[in-house]
Amino acid sequence: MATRLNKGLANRQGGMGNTLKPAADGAFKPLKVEKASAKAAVAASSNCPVQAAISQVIPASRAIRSKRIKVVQEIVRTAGKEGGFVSVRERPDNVQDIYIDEIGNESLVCAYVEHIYAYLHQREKDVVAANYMDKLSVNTRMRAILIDWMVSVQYKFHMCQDTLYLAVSIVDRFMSTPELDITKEELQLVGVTALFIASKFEEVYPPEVSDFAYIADNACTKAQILETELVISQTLNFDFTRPNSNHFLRRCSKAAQSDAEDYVMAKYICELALLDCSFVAVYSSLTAAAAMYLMLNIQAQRLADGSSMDLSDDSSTLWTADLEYYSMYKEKEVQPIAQRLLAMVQAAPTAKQQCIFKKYSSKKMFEVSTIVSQSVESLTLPQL
Amino acid sequence: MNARMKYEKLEKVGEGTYGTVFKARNRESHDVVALKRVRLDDEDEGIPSSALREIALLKQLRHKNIVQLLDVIHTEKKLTLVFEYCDQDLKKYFDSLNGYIQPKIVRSLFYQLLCGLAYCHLKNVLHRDLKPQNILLNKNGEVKLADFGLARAFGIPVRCYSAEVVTLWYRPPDVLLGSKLYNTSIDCWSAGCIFAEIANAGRPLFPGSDVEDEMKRICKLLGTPNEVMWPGMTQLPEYKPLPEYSRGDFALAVPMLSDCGLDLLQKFLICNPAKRISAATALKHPYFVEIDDDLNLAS
Repeated sequence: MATRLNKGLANRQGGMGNTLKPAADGAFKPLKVEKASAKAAVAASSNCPVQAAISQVIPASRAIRSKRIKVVQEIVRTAGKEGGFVSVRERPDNVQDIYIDEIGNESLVCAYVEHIYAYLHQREKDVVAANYMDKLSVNTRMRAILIDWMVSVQYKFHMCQDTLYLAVSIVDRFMSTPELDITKEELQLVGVTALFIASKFEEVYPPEVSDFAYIADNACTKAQILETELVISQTLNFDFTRPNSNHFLRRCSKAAQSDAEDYVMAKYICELALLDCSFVAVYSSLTAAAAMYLMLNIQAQRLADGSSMDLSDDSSTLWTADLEYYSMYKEKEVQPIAQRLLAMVQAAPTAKQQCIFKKYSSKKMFEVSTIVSQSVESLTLPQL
Repeated sequence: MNARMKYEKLEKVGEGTYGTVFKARNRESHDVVALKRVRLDDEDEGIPSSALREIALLKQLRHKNIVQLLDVIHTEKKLTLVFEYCDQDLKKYFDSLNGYIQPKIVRSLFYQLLCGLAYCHLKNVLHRDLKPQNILLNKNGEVKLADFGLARAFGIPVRCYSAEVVTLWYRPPDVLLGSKLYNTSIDCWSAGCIFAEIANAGRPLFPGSDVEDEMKRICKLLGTPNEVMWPGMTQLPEYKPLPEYSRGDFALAVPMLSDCGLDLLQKFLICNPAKRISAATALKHPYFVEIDDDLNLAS
């Protein structure tokens, strides 16, 4: 047994050498790297009998091997076919590998993390026009009321954030369908059905249709929800796999080494953006990056307020090379969006829609909405 | 246009996770397809979440080793999913083997399975029910992953998902012990079990009768895992002290597999999910150096 194992190991180490070893991070590397180490492997293989035996196979199979590498690249390529080529960027020297200590952390799926994010960035590009409601009978104010109510349902049913974000995306994409005009009376039906669909997609134990009919105060019946489910599913062509700002926020928060309070604060800011229809046209990743940037500025301001030192010149360092790289945005790109978010958080305590503000004022949420409202009155973002 | 007008039913081929599957022919193009019917009862919960996920996910997946969803037809009381047709599944193929399979066929089947799986994982989709019955083969020897009724999309970091996934014989030890936080490694364990089963011409590797028996069979071959090899194991929700076994002989368990193949198999069958090889990495393993693409299963 041991011999077998050792032999297997020898085959791997000597015969194939570095060419076949996965990169340290388990991710795919460009073909060039493989070629360079192939030479070293052949050179090293000459003084071991097992290696010699195996190496006889190598020259003959070189074409096959390069074909095999191509197959792997082909999979990577087709994985992102719709929007062109998904390639993983080279990480610059001044950027940390934020996953380096996490190889054993299953929840981060290190082997695929870069490719998956490249794919998510591609998938988020298909957005709805910011002014799509101009042509409809319902307006952005009614939309805000609806989304606020959807937040309260998500909270009452203990559903996850992904369910809320997916439901909002369903509402906007459905309502922006050409030739479809939703009336004020149908608005709640669309919202509750979007939650019903999203919960089936995201939740382990989705609530039942009767729960949704009940929570809508019987403004819509079970039969109406089921009927609308089919209409929405067909209209949207069953496209229920959309990245949301939370997906990207987690990565930014890892890049910034945020603690739980920082993260929840940025989450709160992202969620407020759901209420504002002008954000439907902003990429989720950009909203996430801007929420992160605003949160960092708020926390820096709080720190400065609590200290006698003048830290006002220090804000330029908040958007680090790591954040720029992992969020994919430069400071000058996130600043204008953060400015819009700042206006929203300033208005939040007195706004008509209070569900998100209340949700994030609880102890469990570190009372971030209250903290933010106390800190942003006089906050100004760095002017670039 | 409803399904009956567009397709002529030929025969019933089986039962999926949520409905009957028929072989049918497109009346216009004469293409042979598979129809999966999903009943929608008024009293019920509408579109079953398994169908909803299968449709939504398959619409995002287009790869030669993943079954293609050609169309979804909605009529009054049912949804009909139209798939490309495959002649048989891996289970039926095993039955035709009479206990012998050529090594190059083993290699090709597993290779194609991994290509399809790596593709799913790169598009943040977990299959969660890989087993021979869900792996289809067409007459050109092409492997197609099918039945995405239990599949789901995942975010990073992954959230906790259901522990009630994967058919017992292909369920990884972490999920057997009640883990709800799993990732792509869940499918890689199943893939390893299927690799061994293919190499043994259809003899399942861990045909346990219940969760306890399944875990015992795994321990007998891999040796009983411990906290050193697998930190956090004893904290899993369903963990109970396991019977002590030392590592068994893989070469006896899968006698017809080459050394190189055994090396790869052992990289899949690792109890600690963090140490399990990924599908994409496995594709670069020396075992696949001699992959033969133009495989004729009939020969």
